[in-house]
Amino acid sequence: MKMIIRHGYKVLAVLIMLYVIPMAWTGEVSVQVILHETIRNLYWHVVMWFAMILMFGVSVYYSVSQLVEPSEKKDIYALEFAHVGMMFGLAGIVTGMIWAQFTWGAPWTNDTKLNGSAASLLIYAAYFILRNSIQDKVKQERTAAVYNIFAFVMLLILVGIMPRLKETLHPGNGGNPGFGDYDDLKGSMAIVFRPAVLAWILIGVWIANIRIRIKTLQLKKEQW
Amino acid sequence: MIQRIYILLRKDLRLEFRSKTGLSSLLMYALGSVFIIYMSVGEPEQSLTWNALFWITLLYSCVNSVMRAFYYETSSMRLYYYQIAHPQEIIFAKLLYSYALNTLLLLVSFGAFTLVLGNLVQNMPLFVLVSLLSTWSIGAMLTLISAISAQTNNAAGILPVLAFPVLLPLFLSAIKATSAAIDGEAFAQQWENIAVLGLFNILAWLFSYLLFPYLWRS
Repeated sequence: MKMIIRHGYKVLAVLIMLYVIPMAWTGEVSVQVILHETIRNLYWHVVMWFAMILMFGVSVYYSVSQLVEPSEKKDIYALEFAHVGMMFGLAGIVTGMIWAQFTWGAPWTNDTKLNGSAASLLIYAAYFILRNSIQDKVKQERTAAVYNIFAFVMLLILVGIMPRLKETLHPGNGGNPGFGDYDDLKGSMAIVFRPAVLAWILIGVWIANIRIRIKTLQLKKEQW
Repeated sequence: MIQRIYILLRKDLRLEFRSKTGLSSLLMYALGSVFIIYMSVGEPEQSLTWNALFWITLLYSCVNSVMRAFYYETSSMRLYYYQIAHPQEIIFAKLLYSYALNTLLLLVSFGAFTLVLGNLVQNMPLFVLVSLLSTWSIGAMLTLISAISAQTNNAAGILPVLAFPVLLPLFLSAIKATSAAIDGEAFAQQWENIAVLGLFNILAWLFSYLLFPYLWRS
């Protein structure tokens, strides 16, 4: 039983990915003007941001509980989930740039959402720099937790709120129709998209899990 | 509480005025950059150039001024404040202090720009509102970041690293809105930018209220 809980989600992630990858390339999609077949990038680009928000969310959860009741374990969890979130964020930027090249004509445009996501990834990059510049262990954990909460709220504002207030090229923001309106094949994309989100989140948890274990062992070795 | 905030604020302002070097170096900075701009570009004819130069000048003077908020306080002084006031009172006093200082800097730079480089602003009320809101939010955000970076061993080095990504979106709104004000656009077209700038102000106060006590405890 313990085995199933421990490794089950990894097996599930692999199985879903085995279903998602062929479906993403060959499945039926709703072909739109300008977008054409690039709408398939929905299964990669959008999913990355979903996974990123969730990873940063888990990270900030540990940071909040770190402030309530400090412990070294929570600090490691917050750090490693932030690392994985950062990875998803970078992947989201890269897949977005490829998509923008084919639909908007340039990999980078002066778009509110693009600038917001670049700024929030820089804010998170500063989180890692900040951690490394404090030597005192207790102080480092507390300051990092405070900054992580700050960073997460900034991320929500920059990526979530500001694009809705201003003009942007992204669908679903600034008065543009969302992708939900495009799925006129009645769910043939949703049955690929939703499992893809789940699979990538599970993979994120998997990576974070490995990183946390490595970090814990490193700390044990140092203290020993 | 309000009274203690007032006392702390008065203390900060007094310290600033007593050490004449601090304030005069800031003014010197603002005036010096205006003079350099005048010598290199003369009177800019395009509103875009004027706006960009104005914000560059203001950004650096604001960063210089607010950086000092927690920089010059030794740990023994912090221990003393810790005993006489709540952390929230201390950070609120610092925030108000940054507002006061940045308003002064805004006035000085705008005055110098008007005198030396000419005034291209067409919608003055909008310009005043937007530039006040932006300098205040810059000041408030920088105060918070300066409190965080004061925890590190290398505060002066880490502050720009932390501040730059936060100020980036803020400046985007500020520059767009002031450039619209210079071109004489109406209030109604700029409400999103005004809302964003107001939001950053509220956020900075909220963060300070909730998170500063944890930073202060060391």
